[in-house]
Amino acid sequence: MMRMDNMNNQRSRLFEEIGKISFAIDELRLYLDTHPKCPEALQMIKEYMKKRHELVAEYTSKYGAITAYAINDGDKEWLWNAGYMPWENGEGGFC
Amino acid sequence: MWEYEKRLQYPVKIKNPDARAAKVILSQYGGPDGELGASLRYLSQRFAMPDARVAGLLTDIGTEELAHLEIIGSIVRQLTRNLTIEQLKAEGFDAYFVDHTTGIYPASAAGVPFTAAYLQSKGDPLTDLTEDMGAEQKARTTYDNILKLVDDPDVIDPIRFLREREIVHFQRFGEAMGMVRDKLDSKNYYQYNPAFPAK
Repeated sequence: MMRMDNMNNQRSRLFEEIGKISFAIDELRLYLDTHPKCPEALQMIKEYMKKRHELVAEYTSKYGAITAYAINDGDKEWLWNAGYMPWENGEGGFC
Repeated sequence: MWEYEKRLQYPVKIKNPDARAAKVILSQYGGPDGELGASLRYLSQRFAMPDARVAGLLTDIGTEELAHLEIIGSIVRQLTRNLTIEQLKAEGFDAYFVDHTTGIYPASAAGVPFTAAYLQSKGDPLTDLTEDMGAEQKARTTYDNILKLVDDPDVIDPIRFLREREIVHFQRFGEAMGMVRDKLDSKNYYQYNPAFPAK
């Protein structure tokens, strides 16, 4: 049970990290749409994209895909819809 | 093409049901200044936007609005989960309940179904961007009003996030307006539609 809780915590933490870095990218994307030559923003988005790529790859390999083009489920069962839907806050599935 | 990500742009973790709050927040799902209207407005206007940078901005903001629509749906879903009949009657949710149970339906807080009449796609970049700036302000005011009506910190938190995004989008649309103006023909002093007739 302890081990299970620990695993869920790790998963939540990683998921939260992905959410935070994704938001930073969302904000920079809009900023760059109207400031396409800003060197600081270009540098920041490059770093964040790289970090996000690593976090998503780690999450996907451990817990399954969160992105529709990155589904890499097993051969026996379709797991894309397994677990919680994002709007359920952990009732009926993982969030 | 869009690629779905199985996560909310901002987390929604509401512990206690509150039908009264659900009813007013639902207005940002399908009401006059809600997220559905916002996403349809920007994603429709972009087709006639001649400046690729601004068409790209409309695509990116329109896409984010779809994520906000999902956040609003999540808030209403979590606020109406585990409600009893007594609670929903006492909290004024019975009129919604009779038509939709606790399903998520695009309507205003007063129950008016969503209509495309809430938005315009005029085919004139300056006209459309002026509407977009107004739309962001109207949505921001709606979030201000919601914040006056709710008291649960679990609800206030994501509503504040959404309110802040309206301000950022307003800012970006203002900059986009400048970008379009800078490219206007110097003879077009009165700023007639620069998109039609195409030169």
